[in-house]
Amino acid sequence: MNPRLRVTVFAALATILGSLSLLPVFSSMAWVPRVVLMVAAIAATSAALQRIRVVTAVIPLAMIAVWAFLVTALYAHSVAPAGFIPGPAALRLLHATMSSGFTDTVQLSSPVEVTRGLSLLTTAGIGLVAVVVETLASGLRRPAVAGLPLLAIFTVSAATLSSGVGWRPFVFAAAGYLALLLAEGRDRVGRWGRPVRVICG
Amino acid sequence: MRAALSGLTTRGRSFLAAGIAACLCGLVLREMDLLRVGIFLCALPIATAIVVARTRYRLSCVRRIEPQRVPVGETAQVVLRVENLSRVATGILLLEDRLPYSLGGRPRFVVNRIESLGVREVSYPVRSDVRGRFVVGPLSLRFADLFGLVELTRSFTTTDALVVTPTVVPLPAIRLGGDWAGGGDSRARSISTMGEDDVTTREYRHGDDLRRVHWRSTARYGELMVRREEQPWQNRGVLLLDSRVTAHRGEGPGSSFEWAVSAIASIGSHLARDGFGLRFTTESGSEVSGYSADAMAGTPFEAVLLDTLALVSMSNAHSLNAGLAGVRRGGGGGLVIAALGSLTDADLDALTRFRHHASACVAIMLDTSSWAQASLPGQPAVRQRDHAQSCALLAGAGWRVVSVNARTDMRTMWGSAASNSQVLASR
Repeated sequence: MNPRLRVTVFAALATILGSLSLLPVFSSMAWVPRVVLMVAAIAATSAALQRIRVVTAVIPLAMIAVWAFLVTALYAHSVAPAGFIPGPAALRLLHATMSSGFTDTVQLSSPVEVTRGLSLLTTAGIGLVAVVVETLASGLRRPAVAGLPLLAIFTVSAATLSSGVGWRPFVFAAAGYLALLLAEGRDRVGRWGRPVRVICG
Repeated sequence: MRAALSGLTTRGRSFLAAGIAACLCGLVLREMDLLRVGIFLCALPIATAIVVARTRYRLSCVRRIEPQRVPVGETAQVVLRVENLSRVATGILLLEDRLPYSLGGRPRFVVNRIESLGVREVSYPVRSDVRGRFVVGPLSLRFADLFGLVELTRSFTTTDALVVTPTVVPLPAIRLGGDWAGGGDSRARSISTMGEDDVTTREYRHGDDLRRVHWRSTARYGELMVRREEQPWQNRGVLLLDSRVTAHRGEGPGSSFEWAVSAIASIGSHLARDGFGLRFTTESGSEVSGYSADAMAGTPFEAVLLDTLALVSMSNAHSLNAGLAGVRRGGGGGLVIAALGSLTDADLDALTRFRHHASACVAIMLDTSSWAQASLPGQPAVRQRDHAQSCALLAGAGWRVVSVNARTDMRTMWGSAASNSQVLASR
């Protein structure tokens, strides 16, 4: 695996592990598959574009486009042209769903049921975090800064839960972040100079 | 601990700062989650720093350059051998060797880990397009961690020298006839008619002829000494390089001066291998020789000559007199080979008079106008003789003259110098 692809994979992994801090917020795990799908789709977009060596600045735009298509396909499939293009009708539907989600966050207390609105908010939000983390870690080579968007997810659940998140989700998030730092560190050291092979003696 | 924390990178310091801020906020707001994040952010750089600093290993680094003397434009290999002398394995090491700009960019290497008493060897090529003596090193070493939080730099002090010599063209083995070899034309009879006897003495042994007693040594040592008859005889020669800035044309590696340097290097190496005892001098009289008892004694003349020629630069001297006087003082010589640039009337006069002090004189006359068509505006206003005229004058005075220009091949030059005494403009 080439070092940059490894960074992309670990960025996606760190985002997924970071999103697990939302587990205590919901009463079921029904939101997890969609989040994983979203993060995987964004990472795959970045990896594919790296492979064909497009200009680095294009990659975040492409990831945003994929994010928009996927959100439309998952939450406004019935009214969207071709099933995934965010046309006016689809945007209206997404807006309505999102509003209901915001209402839910105000009215319901944790752990909440995974309503359609909350699921949209979670998937879209974590999708955006994935775009930012991937851009910082792989595109700009600033994996340390990529901790901030991950911390944002953590803050959401910390703010929602009155009893605190607990140490288990934190360990997941921290482990994901460390793995990302290590992957990028290996890439950085590899770019610094020629590796020296082992000789006998 | 303090030393360890001083090795923190910007990232490491940021982590620490963010961690402390998060801890304080967590304590003030009584948020256990925030405090946890803060502790994590503080612990990471501190733990890394301790791990990296604890392993301040004893490392040794040896550099060798193979070969230490290369001709211009050819590649030498620099081999670095890093050895871990401590009992623990090292972490990631980043090596960087320092090079002068003319040898290329700084080579960098990453060593993942060296186990206890382990050795790593790396090599990289260097080459230079200009001659000279280049300092390679010192090596700097960085201990790093994969998080990029800590970096400790350490420098070794040892440097090595790479000598980039002028191009040495292997010359054809031409049997030198007549006055070239000073009478002896075969190595078997290597007794030269010119050159001094090396008066070496040994103790008197029973049976030695009393006529061989060397009285001066006897007086000095207080016991009977005799001359050694089995002394080494050698053909002797002097190489004279005209390095006056006024005598040469052209810039940098393509100048007539570089051609002359290369010619002297090629001829010197060739003759030294043929067993000649040689001296080399510039027109200003700075001299090295293969048999002088100076600091370089013991080194083969070829190496001494190449080292000297690697560093020789143009001088501001106006005449050849100092150099010629030096050759005369050294007892003249069997053979004098001079690489000459543009000459003035005074130079020609001096060379003509010098002819009688050596058994054979060869002038390699550089037609400097062929090296640079456009004469430099700052050229000193010394009146110089036309090239053809100079050649004719020297040839008339008994010098063997070989005329060369920018396109002349060194081997052709040598062929005409060794075989024919006629003025030869070879292509």
